[in-house]
Amino acid sequence: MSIIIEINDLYKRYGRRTAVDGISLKVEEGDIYGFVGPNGAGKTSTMRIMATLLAQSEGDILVGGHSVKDAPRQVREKIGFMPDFFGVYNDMVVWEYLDFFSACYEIPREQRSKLVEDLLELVDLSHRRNDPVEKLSRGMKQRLNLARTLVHDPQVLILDEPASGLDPRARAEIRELLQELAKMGKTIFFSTHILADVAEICTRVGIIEAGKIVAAGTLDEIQQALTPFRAVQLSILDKQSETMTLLEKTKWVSNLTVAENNHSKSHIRLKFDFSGDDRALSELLAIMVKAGIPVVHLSEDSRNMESVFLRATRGLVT
Amino acid sequence: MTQAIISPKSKLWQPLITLYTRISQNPVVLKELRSRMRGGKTFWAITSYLGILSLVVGMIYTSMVALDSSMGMYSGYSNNTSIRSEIGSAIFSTVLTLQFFFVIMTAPTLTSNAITAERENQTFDLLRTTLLSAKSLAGGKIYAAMFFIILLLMAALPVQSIALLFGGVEFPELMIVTLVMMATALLLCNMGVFFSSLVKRTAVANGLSTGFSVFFIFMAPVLFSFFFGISVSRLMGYSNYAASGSDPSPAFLYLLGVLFWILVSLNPISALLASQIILVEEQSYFFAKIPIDKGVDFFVISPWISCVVFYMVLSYFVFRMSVNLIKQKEK
Repeated sequence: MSIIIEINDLYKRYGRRTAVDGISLKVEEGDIYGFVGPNGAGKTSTMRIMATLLAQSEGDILVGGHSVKDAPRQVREKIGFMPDFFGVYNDMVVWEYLDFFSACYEIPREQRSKLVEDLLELVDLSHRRNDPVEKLSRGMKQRLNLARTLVHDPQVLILDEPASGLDPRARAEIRELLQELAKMGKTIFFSTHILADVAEICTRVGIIEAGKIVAAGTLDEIQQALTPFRAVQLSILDKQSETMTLLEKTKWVSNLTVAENNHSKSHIRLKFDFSGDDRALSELLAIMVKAGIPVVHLSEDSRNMESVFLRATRGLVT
Repeated sequence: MTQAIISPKSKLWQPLITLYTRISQNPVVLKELRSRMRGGKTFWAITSYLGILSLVVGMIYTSMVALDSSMGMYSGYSNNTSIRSEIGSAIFSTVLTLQFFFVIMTAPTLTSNAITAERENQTFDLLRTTLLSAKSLAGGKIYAAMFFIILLLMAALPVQSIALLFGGVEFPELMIVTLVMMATALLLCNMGVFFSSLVKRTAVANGLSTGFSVFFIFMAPVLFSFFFGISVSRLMGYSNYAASGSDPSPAFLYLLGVLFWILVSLNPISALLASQIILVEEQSYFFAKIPIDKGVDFFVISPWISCVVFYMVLSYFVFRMSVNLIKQKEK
């Protein structure tokens, strides 16, 4: 895979305040890159520089080999940018909105109508094509915005907080859309506060704090670097004591506890720290099954990403 | 090969074809016109505007006919042809004055939200990440505003043509006034876009644009005339022509003439009035002959021409400044 986004020693200063403090990172083609960090960490500044909207103080960003400083037009051809707010013309209807932006991307008039229909279908808004944009729900507006970023078939999507403020269903829809787009070969670079989304869909993650990258890589790489173990949950139907004995005997398990199970009274839930890799986890499952333990569920704790994030950051804001 | 098939005639039309292509391919023009024409607001605005013009024309006609019949009854003043051309002239000048007022007040407000509204709607960033250039964005806003001004002028043509029916007004006069009005509208629209690119809020941009229009069109001529009058009388005083009993030199008068001509050309109202005087006195639409000494005449082009050229040039520079402001990246 080739490098599609390359951030080289990037600085952004607002007066005396340094919002982006010499960050460097690379994003490979086809990645879903989660750009995670607390408020004021420098995420939006970095993304706005990448989208050719903000002038950097030092350094450069290359998108598809083009510099945002020297070749902004070429960069704009390659990217679709969605800011963290809904920029919509309320006096337009849905299809006009997409048609207008297609024209702004110099899509020939005769191709636009089909393009608009295809995009509306992709974001599941075909049934609302003649409705005024202002009548759409927040989630629909966000999907329309996502469709807007796709009108010129860009290689890279830069999305600033795409799921922010959405209800769980709308969030799930956006997440599915992003996965769908990644399958279509798009590289997605998005910032988020929602760590569950990062854990679920990102192939790579960059954690930024106080304008600096504090961790970057695949989730596994970051986890291994920051936490020597993974928090794992196990649900069984019975045989609690035998299970605990078996787990305590293995070399990978520590801090074994019985957790409260509010979801199901028929299951016993155990929590432990696991120091092995995926293969070891699979081996552990095989051992338990062989020992006749009625395993219902074995997974990493969804809050694991949270603990990685908390370990990586110190709550600093520039 | 392509060049060989381009006839001189098509070369003549080339700038117009280029302009048409530029306008028809600019997405902002269509968007703006669509937004402006949607809903009943514009319909009612144009209806009210035409209603006012028609009412005024009706009042002029009624009052002049009533005046004519009363004058004719007592002094034998009534002359059918003369009163017809007088009614024609009165309708022409009143309707044009009203139209001018509408254009001056409307043009800056049509564009003073051009960029600020995009910022307020949070669509400015979206546009800037597309391939739409700053020039196309500003140009699209100005073209759309100018189309609306043209619509206002065209809609008033039936009312205006009543003056032509009565006589006393020539078609070229109507064309000249329309050209000056268009050039003024172009400058004011450009100023609207400029202020809109310069400040962040629509209300501020609107205030600045309207303030500029009122100052430039109504107050500046008064101030200029005042200072020009003072300067001329001082110069005359220093030269002490009156004391020596000699006439001012032709060169001095020539200089004064040029200065006065520039001053007159700077303002559409004074340029049109001066052009009208030249038309009546010299029967010329394009040139005026001003005698400055015995046997020495000073030729000038009619001020409406210089006014139109001056406003076009100024519009171009204001447009360039707006484009530079829009183009700037956030710091």
